[in-house]
Amino acid sequence: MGNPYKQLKEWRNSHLQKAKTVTELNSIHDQVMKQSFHLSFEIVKKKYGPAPCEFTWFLVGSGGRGEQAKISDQDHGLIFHSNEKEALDYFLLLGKEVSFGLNVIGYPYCEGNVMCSTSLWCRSEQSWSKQINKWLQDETFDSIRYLLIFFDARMIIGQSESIHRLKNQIFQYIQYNPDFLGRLLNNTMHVKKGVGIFHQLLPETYGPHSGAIDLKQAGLLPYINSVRLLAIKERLLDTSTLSRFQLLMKQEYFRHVLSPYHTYFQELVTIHFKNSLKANTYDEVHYLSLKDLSKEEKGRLKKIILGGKKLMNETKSIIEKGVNP
Amino acid sequence: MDSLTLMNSLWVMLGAILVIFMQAGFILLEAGSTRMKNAGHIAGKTVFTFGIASIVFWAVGYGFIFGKNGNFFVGMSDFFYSGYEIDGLSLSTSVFFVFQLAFAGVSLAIAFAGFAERAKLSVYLIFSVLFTALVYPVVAHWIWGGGWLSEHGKQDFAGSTVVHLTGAMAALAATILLKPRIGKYNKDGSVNNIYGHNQVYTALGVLILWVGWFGFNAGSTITVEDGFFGFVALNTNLAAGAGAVSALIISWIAGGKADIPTMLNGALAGLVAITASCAFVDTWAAVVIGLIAGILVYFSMKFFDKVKIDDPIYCLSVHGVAGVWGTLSTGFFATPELATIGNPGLFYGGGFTQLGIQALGVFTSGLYAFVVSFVILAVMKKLLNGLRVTEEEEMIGLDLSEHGVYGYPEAFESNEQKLGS
Repeated sequence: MGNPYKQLKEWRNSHLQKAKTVTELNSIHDQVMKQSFHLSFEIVKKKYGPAPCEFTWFLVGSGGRGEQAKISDQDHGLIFHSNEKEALDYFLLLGKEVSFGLNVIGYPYCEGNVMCSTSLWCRSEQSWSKQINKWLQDETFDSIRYLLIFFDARMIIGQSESIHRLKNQIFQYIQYNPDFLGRLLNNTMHVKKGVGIFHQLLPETYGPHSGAIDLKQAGLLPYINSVRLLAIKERLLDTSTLSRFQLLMKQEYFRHVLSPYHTYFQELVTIHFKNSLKANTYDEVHYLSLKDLSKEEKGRLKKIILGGKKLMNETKSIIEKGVNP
Repeated sequence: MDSLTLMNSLWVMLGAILVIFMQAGFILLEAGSTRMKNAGHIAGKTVFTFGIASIVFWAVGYGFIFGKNGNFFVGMSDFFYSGYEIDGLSLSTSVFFVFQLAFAGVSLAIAFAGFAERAKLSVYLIFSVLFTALVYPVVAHWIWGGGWLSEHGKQDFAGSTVVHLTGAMAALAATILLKPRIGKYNKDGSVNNIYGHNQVYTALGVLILWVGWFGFNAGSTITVEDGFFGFVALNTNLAAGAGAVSALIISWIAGGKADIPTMLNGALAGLVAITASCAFVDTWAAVVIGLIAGILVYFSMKFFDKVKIDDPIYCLSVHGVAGVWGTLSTGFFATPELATIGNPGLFYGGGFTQLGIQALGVFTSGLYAFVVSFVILAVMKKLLNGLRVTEEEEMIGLDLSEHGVYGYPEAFESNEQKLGS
């Protein structure tokens, strides 16, 4: 038998080139990942038989938010509906094959091990519930990180209900422990500076990306993190930043506050997408060279980056004051 | 010996001890600013090159600087100094000798900062001899030994030019001939930051140098009379503080980060700059001189990186650029009361006279130090079949390639070795 992933890899490479929007690009990623999962599942079924129970496979990270760039690593987890030890063994084997397949196809392994091939991200629903509870109680740097990661979980295979039940568990905890939102906030407040105090852009000064701005760290993340926090506060289950924006803005208060940031973010996503098409490696995807920008474009970029910072401050004050629309 | 001569001797001896202790500062500064694999080598070479410098300075260096019957370049007496007293000095001659020797050692340590992480051990050995005999004494003779620049009234109280610029010019010649370290520049021309392995060492090194500088500058009064050394020490401390503050602020404003290595270099730049002017300027001017030095050092560090001159410890910026600025600064700020040598500066009605003399001194001294060092190193390059260790040796580190053992053996032991032991 040849490499079962080869054909899919070729299809992926040719189709990703043709994507004209972020939505199109992410719909291709979703199709590829879904197909890759099925191929892995077939391989495991042949070796170990059918799945012992129902399950849900979900993406987190940029995949979970539907905001993947052309080149992106893999971040995912799995929920299965059985408490038998055999089920865990089976799904871990499946997880390993899934990760291997995605890596072959062009999604490098996650350096932080957020993959359903690890026992942390492959659990029965009951075990997930216990784990989430533990993360909520622990309040350590890592546990808060994991909760924020889990919050971007989006179903690819299976049913969304189990994910929603687990997210509702977080909402309920916050309802009784409103201070917890502050902990989540603190975890995301550190942002790479993109604009200096004289409103000058601050590109990388060393390394292969010298002269380029890190669009992910300095640009996208302040928006993504702020809107995620507001979505948690408002108990929203959607995962994409733009749909979180839209849902929040259905409320009068947020429409007023978020409107300019929504526009900035849309623009930033477009800039990031266009720039990422030129990238050849995962490392290059997020760096925008300032050399290629006109004076006006630089000015706009500054406004967008400063907007992210302002949005973070707005989010901070909304959460700290416990403002309710 | 009268009590004043005795007191002067004690004071200058204390200064000499402080200046020799600056070698400890250089060890920590240089080792902390470079990688672990070269740490033992850097520490060790600082000690033995100071040893070489001591012997060469005793044999010929001192005589070239302060000897009589001189020519345009050097004096020609007092070689192999045996400890005799010279008439007319207000302190013990042997104390004065040790103090001067300590300065030559500092200049050599500065020069070697430009060789870091890639030069062969033999290069250090030979260049120590030639720099201490042929480069440093000539500039020191011109300015301090009664040479042509001192006749013009050049103001360089403790050696912004003599010690720092001379060392930095030799370092510049070395960095040009040695070429950048492996991994410093990418194929597309972008620059990588090769981080030092221990910021605490670097900071401690700077602080030891800072304290040592009281020996360097205040000790250069050579006398305790009138307690003038206290004023010199005050100016020295103010400039160092101002340099640290302005460098930190400029790195934060221009680069978005309050960068620790830049701040440390700012403190050193303030010290280097005030070295020439500490006895000639008011306290407010010392602050201004330090502030400007701290800002200059930030942009200078960026500049050398950009023009592909790999200066691992930033000595060209700290000792070269700040040395030039410090020497010129007396041309602006020297006051009529304090300018016991030369004239008052531009801001005190002295016109451009002193500034011109300072500029002439910087230019000729810098040019001499650069050209002679370059020629020496170029000849050595030919004779030694290259100044630089092989690519493999540079990769494994100079601790192992030049000395056979790591400065941090446990850190480099492979798991295999650990299991086997």
